[in-house]
Amino acid sequence: MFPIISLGPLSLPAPAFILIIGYLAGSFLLDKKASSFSIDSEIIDRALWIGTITALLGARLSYIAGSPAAFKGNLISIISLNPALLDPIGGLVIGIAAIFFVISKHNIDYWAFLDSLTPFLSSIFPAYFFSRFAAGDGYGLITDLPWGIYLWGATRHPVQLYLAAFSLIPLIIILLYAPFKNLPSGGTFLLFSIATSGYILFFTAFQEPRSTLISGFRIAQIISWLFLLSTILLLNYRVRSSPNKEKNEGKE
Amino acid sequence: MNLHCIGCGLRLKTYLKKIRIPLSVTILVAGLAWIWFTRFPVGPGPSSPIEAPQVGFLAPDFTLSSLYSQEIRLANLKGRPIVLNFWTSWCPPCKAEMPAFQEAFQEYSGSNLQIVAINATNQDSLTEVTQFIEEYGISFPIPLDQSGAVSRDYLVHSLPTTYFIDKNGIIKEIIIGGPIPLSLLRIQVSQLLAE
Repeated sequence: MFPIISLGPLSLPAPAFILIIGYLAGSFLLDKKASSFSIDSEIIDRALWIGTITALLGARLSYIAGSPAAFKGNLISIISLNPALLDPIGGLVIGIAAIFFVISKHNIDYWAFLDSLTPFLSSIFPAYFFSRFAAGDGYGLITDLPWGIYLWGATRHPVQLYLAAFSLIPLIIILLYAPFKNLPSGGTFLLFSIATSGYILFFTAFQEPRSTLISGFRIAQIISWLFLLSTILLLNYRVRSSPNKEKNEGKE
Repeated sequence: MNLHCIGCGLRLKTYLKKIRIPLSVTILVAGLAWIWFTRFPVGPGPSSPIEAPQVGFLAPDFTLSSLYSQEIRLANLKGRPIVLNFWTSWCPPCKAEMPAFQEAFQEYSGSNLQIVAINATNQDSLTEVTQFIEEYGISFPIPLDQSGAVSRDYLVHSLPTTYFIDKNGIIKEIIIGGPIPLSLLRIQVSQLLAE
């Protein structure tokens, strides 16, 4: 756990710093891979920047909308730089909506766009899990396994490191092999989503749950499974409804 | 050679097409089984919760003296929601957020909320601290962490750092850095009071 990086008199919050590195690395990969997805990288870059800025503004507005009375007589705090005044889920929804608005204005196929966004996403996930490890957040269950780490008064599963390590696998595969030519448009994104929701579903079992449903089921696992279900169904649908490339290849 | 490889690829693709549905069903069923198998045991938590400066854990206990030699012990405040702030007089965001803490202290004086602002005195001077308290008209308790032991127990790496602790002594939120505006204090405090 290393929440603060100290550089002389300067203290940087390590989790935010790692996320920014992941974002920049993702943008770089997106630019590098955009041509192989046959999409103009400038449009994706623009959509991503607009999405990021809209997400930040949306996160603040969503936070204010949640408790408007708290800002009474203290309107100046609306523009506070404190990140605790952000609603991440609200921001994410608004940011995604903004990205799709930009994409639809350029008449780009949504599935092709999602494929081209996959290198960016595959870079964000390792950064996200490492940032949670840096913050000491999302800690694991108590264990006596030899690779357990001492955190918060006990030896625990280094669950954020499990997740970070496994999130590197899709990143490496996408760097080396994407786009997957045999799959229909959207296939690269859907395969990445299946892999991601699969390892999250698996490793969240070793995490100390913040919130559980009735009978101790972890909410994070249930959400992952639902995501896994929808992405598997979508991939099967995309494969079935796409033109048969094999036949075409055979004819050629 | 190429023809042979294309043939292999086609056979693999055909094979994958055939097993697509059974594979999907197997993955989904295995996922459900894993969720069932790894569900968290329901029942009372550990009899003595672990003390750690992290959300969900018991706030580490301390006993410190204030500027006016009044002894303050965290365990004695159990049953009351607490806003626990770490600060120094030379830190600009600490200075900037102190008026908001004083305003919140007055605003919630009718509730049982307790604001405690620990001065990291091992990094500060008592003269500066006294001047600061008088200048800002602070009326909530200011314990002095002369040895730095409490700051170490709370893993305070950056100033200011603020812990929001519920009436059972469990840390509910940690905000590293500042300044914390009054609106954020209000939201966090109302969540603590609502429990």
